[in-house]
Amino acid sequence: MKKKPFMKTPSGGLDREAWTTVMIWLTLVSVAMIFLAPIVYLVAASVKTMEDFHRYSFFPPPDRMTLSNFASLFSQVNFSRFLLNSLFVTCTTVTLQLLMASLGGYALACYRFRGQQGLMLMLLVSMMIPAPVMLAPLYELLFHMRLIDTHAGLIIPGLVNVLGVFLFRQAMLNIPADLVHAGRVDGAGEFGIYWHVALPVVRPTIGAFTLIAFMGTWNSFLWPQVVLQSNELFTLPIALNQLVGLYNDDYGALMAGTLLAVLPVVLLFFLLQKEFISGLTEGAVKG
Amino acid sequence: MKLFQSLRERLSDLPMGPAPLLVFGVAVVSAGLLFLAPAQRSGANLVFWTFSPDHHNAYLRVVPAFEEAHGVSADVLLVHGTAINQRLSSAFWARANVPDMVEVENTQSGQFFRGPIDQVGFRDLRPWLEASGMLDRIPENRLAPYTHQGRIFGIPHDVHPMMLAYRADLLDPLLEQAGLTIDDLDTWDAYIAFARDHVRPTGRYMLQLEDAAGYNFEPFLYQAGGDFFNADGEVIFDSDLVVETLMWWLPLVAGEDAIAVNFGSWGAPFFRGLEEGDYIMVVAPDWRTAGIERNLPQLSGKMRLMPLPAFGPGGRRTSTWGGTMLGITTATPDPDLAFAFAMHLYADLDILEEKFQTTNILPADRTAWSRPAFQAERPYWQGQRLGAEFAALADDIPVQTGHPFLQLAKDQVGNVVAASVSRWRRQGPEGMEDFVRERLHQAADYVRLQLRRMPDWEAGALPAFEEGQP
Repeated sequence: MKKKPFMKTPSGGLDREAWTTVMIWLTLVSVAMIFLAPIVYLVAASVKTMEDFHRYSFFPPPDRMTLSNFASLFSQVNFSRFLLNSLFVTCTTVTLQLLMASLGGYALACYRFRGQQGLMLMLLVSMMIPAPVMLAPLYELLFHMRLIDTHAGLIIPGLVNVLGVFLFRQAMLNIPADLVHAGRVDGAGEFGIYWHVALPVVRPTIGAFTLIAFMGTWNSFLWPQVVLQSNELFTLPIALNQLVGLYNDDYGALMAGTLLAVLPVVLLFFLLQKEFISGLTEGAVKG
Repeated sequence: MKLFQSLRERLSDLPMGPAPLLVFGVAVVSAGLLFLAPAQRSGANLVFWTFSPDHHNAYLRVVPAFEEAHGVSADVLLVHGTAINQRLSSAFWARANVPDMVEVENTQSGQFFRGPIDQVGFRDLRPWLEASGMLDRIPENRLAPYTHQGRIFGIPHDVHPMMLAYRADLLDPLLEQAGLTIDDLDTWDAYIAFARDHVRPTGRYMLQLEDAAGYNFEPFLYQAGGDFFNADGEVIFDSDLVVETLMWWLPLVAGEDAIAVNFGSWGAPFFRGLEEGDYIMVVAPDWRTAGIERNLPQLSGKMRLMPLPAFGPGGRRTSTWGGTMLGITTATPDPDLAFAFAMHLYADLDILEEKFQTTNILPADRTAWSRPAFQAERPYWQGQRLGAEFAALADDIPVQTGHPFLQLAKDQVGNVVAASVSRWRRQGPEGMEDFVRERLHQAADYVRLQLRRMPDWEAGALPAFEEGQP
């Protein structure tokens, strides 16, 4: 669509509509700057020496910038190992969560069985239990299962994401029953219907949930901190937190590490942004 | 960019979208890499958790010597402070995966002493400390935070005597103008008068104090002889002494005659304020001096330390802030071995000397204080002998009575401090004493209420620590 040019009044000034547009843009840019300020600070802090860290609020003069924080990140702490751990735990968890949540959502949306409403209610109620309350019993359970200090101890308790089950159920409620029946008539098995009929229909939800689950697992801190003990198993948030000392903080390395740690999430967002947005807005304009 | 666009388009063509395949692919690749380089597992005889990277690095260097001498293996794990508390709580509750030894910060240690005394997860170390002679080598007041019902649950890692660190390049000219020396600021009255007459007119503040929490009031309370609990474990932070001390402290930070400013106690504003001379002094327990050195290397040669002024002539010239204990858990199968390891880490003079050089922390074992590193002149502090300065004050640090509800009590007092500062700024000093007294009473009653919920609790039935009777 061709954009309408700014209109000028006979005296040469901008007309009312143009002014409104300018004001909207100014507001949006201001808000964007507020949101971007911490990111800019993060980038600036990662290229400052300790001497300059408190001296300059943002970037130091170009000749004082340094990449030594990134170098020390890889030389002093095993950053690549932590990154690998994070990728493994996050991607495995998200893959399994996708499978479990979509299967659960499919069952709750497309089948009728006794206790269906009660089950859904129970799932929703379970979301209201604060995670810290479950720490001690879950810890004991994992200890007896010999899963303390293992990646499995992070992945298995997070296999079923109730929010995901709920999201998929809501999305799959929109699948016409006739479509499911048609699949059966064509000879598809129950799993085949789920795989070939249901999942493609809820593709935006898959994208949105992947991003939500990825961010949640990638940034997870409390549970990994409790479960993991060996340095070589640490995920990125735990490893970065080790740079926060009792007496001294290595701010430069911490900021450099944080900057690198947010990159995978940003990358994933740009890859999935179309799905993410359509997944979140699905049904928002339904008549 | 084109590659990225092309990848996005190709992935978008998949029937279920790009997300599952992408994530699954990364999971498979990362699993393969982890399979090729599995994590090393520990099967050590002793497992020790510490939360300080500085401690951890120092300990790792000396573990092999202990292992060789005793024919065992010891694993020192670095666990973040918050994680130690959560993990240790979970481990004690579940009686599962409890380490043999652990370092805990003194604001957190008290919570592990809750409940029936014979169910506390740490061993009473008194018999080992007495037999090894260590009890006589530790400043007696330093055992207080880790002593509960007469049992010593932790070996103190440090003493943390407190001094004032100041910008000598800014303060000395002002002292000279006033015809004074730093030694003349030996009482708080003299110190405050000098700050108001000679420092505030320059636009600078004399001191940096946190006024929205209690932790910069606590050292003054301890210095004045106050405490949160008495030796019987009873709440005493609503006593007349605490009210008087808070009424003395408030005008330091609030009102027109304030000599202190709040730049936060950590982070960029704090260091920047000191660098730019917005304030001249900070309260400085030994550990904080290392933070100043590391964050503000440009102030080398401009900083000095002085003892705290006393509340009266001949009074106590120091206080304390923070502390760490090493506890041996009841889960360890060989407490003698664990204690031997603790002594290796806490009483080995070479290790103590090395740790002091990186952390400036005065160790609790006084036999180390005569070693060269503690007597060395430090250029950053205009040649002051940092170790000797702190050691001279170590035996005079006040008692900090340990208690299972100490953190709760400190939080409550912190709330009263913040509310009082706010009220003083809004309404001035009128009616302030009644306000402070009432708020402290309310806070103390709240802690007493919580205290009654503790099993075995009876007022006066919990002798904690008596000065002079370690």
